[in-house]
Amino acid sequence: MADYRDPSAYAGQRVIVVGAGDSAAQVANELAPVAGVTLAARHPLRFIPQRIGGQDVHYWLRATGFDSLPAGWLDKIAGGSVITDSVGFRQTLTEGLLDVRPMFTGFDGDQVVWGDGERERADAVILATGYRPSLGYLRDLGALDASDAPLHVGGVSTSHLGLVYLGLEFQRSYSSNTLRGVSADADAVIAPLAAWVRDAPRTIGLITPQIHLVGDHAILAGEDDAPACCATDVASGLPAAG
Amino acid sequence: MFGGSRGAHPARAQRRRHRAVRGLLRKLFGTEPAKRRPGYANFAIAEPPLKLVLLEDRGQGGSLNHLGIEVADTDMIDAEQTRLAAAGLASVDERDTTCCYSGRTSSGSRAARTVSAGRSIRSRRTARPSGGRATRSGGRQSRRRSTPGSRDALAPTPRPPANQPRRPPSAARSCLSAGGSRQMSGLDASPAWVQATAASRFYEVVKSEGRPAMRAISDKGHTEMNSVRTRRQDAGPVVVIGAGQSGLAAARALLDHDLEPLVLEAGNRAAGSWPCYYDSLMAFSPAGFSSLRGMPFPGHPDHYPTRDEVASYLERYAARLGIDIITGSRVVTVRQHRRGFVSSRLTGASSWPPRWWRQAAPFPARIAPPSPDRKPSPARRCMWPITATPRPTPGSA
Repeated sequence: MADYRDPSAYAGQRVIVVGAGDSAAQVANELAPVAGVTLAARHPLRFIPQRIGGQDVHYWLRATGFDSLPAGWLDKIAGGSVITDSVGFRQTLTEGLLDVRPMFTGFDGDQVVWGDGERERADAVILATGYRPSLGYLRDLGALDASDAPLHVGGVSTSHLGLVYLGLEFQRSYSSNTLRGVSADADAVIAPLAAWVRDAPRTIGLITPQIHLVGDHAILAGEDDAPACCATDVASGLPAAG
Repeated sequence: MFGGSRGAHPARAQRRRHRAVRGLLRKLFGTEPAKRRPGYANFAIAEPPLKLVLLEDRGQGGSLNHLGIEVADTDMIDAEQTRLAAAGLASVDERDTTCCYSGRTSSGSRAARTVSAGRSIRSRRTARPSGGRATRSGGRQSRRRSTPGSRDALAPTPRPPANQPRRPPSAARSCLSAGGSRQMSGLDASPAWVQATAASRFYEVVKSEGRPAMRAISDKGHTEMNSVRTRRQDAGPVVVIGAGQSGLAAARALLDHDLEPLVLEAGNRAAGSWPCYYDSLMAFSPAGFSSLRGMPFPGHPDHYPTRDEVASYLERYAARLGIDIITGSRVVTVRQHRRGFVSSRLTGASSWPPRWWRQAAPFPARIAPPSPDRKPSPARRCMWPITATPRPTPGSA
């Protein structure tokens, strides 16, 4: 999916799009006129109406407070992705330009193996199954769990003071990783961060020395001999990654 | 220094200076002196609640070397600057100045008597939501003041000489400093002060070509004297990894907290992963529901923005923030350094804005908004590898 740009490269091909969300629907929909498309999903597609009572569904997400429901509750009620279908995927589906099947069970060479045992050659399989953050640069710090997911509650690191996350899917709510929702999440994580940066605990009289290991040296937090510069950059021969 | 002549035959030039200083204070406070006698002037100011008594102290020097006005927010700063400019006062924004604190003992104890403005801070203190704690920390304040060794390492402050007398708490709460280090240094443990002045700006009376002038020391000048009050740049940058919608929202929130963000972006645009998405991508939310704080998404609120519209919106949002965003800068590892973190990047050191190199402290904090998964290979610049996740994507890009 990351390499997918437009349908032209898939003209006349047999393409299987995997996913059950809006991205999968958009891509399958635009491939349908030029390619043989099947959408494979692990659960039946669920649509929510784009407009309710003359208003976009996003109006109701806000007006009903749905956007403010905590992620922990959504786990119990939302149950998988939904398609709002702003591009007319359902219309394409009813016109028979594509079909939807339960997720295939595996690959066999250049064939996919469907659940009923049928095998079918596919030119391309496009995974539109979401994404997860790439936080490998925090691995050595010990901020991630075994699956490289951040250790956090609501975006605030539970492993490191002064480290927060923003934009995680379902970080706090349904809208956490959206343009409309991320500013509110920013407030929630920056407030504690600012308190930490300003050393709020010390200000109210709590002084708790902490030993952090840096290189071979044990350094007492709050020690006063700050280094002359604040970042060590690896000026390696590697090309600058864009 | 102020008021009329007390000496036998004051020079005409000196009288002119006195008049100039009184005029300056009239402009600064927007009020006339309540009382004036030779060698004495008294300003009673309603907002901020402040009584300023000025005593002439000829020949000694240092009786009054700076004045501060505390304002509540950045809008007031601008309003104050406009008002002072209209009154003909030069207002110079001096960064990184440390003019308000000095370790001198000669002038400090003398000048302290000229000012008592405790009400100003006390009233703010009671306005805090946690009034009970504020009372307790007020007690701590006086205790902490006597133990300068416990000062915050982030803002090293000259240690007041041990032979100076401890100041009474009322004077220590002053928000206006006259002449001395001791007076302001007494503020260092007051959380109320931290709360009240996070976005404040101070003005300093300085001599310019022999005439008094106003100098805005903004919120830069007082950390040296107030060790708990962390100014934007003294705190070091808060590093934001990623300049997508999350990184920019984080930067905006940091600015709201008067902290300085430094945004590192692996790509070459301050638009996160949006430029990398597929050509036909439309946002799943209409423009009316696709705005970051403070800048409405352009176009009809019901239309679904395209990929390029969103990328361009984010770039304009980034530009409007007026912050340092270093593109082409991929963070490869982060390690802890005392209270903060240190990062390593693939790019060379020269791409840091020079001013960050002046920081004496390590980064105090680091924000890591996730960018969509990118494999470490530098060749794969624009990627959105889709990996099966336990939790599927919500209906939103």
